[in-house]
Amino acid sequence: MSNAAALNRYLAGVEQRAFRMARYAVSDADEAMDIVQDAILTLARKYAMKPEAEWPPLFFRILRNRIMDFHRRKRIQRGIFAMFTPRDRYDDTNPIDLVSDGRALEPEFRTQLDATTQRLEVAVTQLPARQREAFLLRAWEGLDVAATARAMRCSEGSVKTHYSRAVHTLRERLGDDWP
Amino acid sequence: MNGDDRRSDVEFVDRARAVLDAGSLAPDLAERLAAARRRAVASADVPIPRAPSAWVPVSALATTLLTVGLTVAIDHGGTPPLDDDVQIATVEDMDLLMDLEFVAWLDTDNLDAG
Repeated sequence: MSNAAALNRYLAGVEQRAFRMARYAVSDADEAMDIVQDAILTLARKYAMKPEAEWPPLFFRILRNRIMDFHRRKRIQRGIFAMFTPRDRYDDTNPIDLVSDGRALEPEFRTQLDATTQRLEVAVTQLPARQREAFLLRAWEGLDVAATARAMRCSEGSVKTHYSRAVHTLRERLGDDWP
Repeated sequence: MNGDDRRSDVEFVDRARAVLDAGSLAPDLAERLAAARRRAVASADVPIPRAPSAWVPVSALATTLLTVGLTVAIDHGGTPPLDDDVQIATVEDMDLLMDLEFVAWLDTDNLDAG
């Protein structure tokens, strides 16, 4: 199989999950679409020559960087706006922690999901950003600890901590009756 | 964390994965992603991996043999020995070259003197 076919196969398998992860993080379908398309293009143009095994951490690192860029732009926009308004809760917050709460899932998107999925997605969206990343990359994307650490640019110990906290938070919020 | 907690964490994660996998995108979103992927793959500079040339091991072997041969020769004789004829020819060539230079100098000197 040529590298182009392998790249196509990899991206086809990951693109929808990547879109949903981006959507959990940025709360806007169009923004999430732009972010994922940019990540796909960057992987194809810059890293297609890399060994196939390196694509997952590279792709999710690119995706994460694009999400952080989005939050930085938003923060700057808010900063400009804030010159004329009182300081808000975002002032001392890390850009990547500026994730939305339960409002993130737009109404038309929610209707496509059943109640079980809705509850989980809202709970995932409400996690702190690092916990959400660790949970989605480990539990959903299936990356091992080392690959998750490369994608998140942190130590393997941090991945384990974020992941463990995410699982406990989700179990606590969803309760014993889920699903 | 005891064994029961760990087991229930694993079961929870398995359920969560199954629920997340069951979710799907609207067809128009899925098609936009697929189109972006096709454009990206088409624009990627992805050469087909080639097997190494058969000459690579042959040239590597030849280089190794040459290196070993020269090393052994140097160990036994100081500098690599040259054939006597080659040495003589080289010395004679140098003499001939000096003679030619001398004649050329004489010609130049004569012209200047004249």
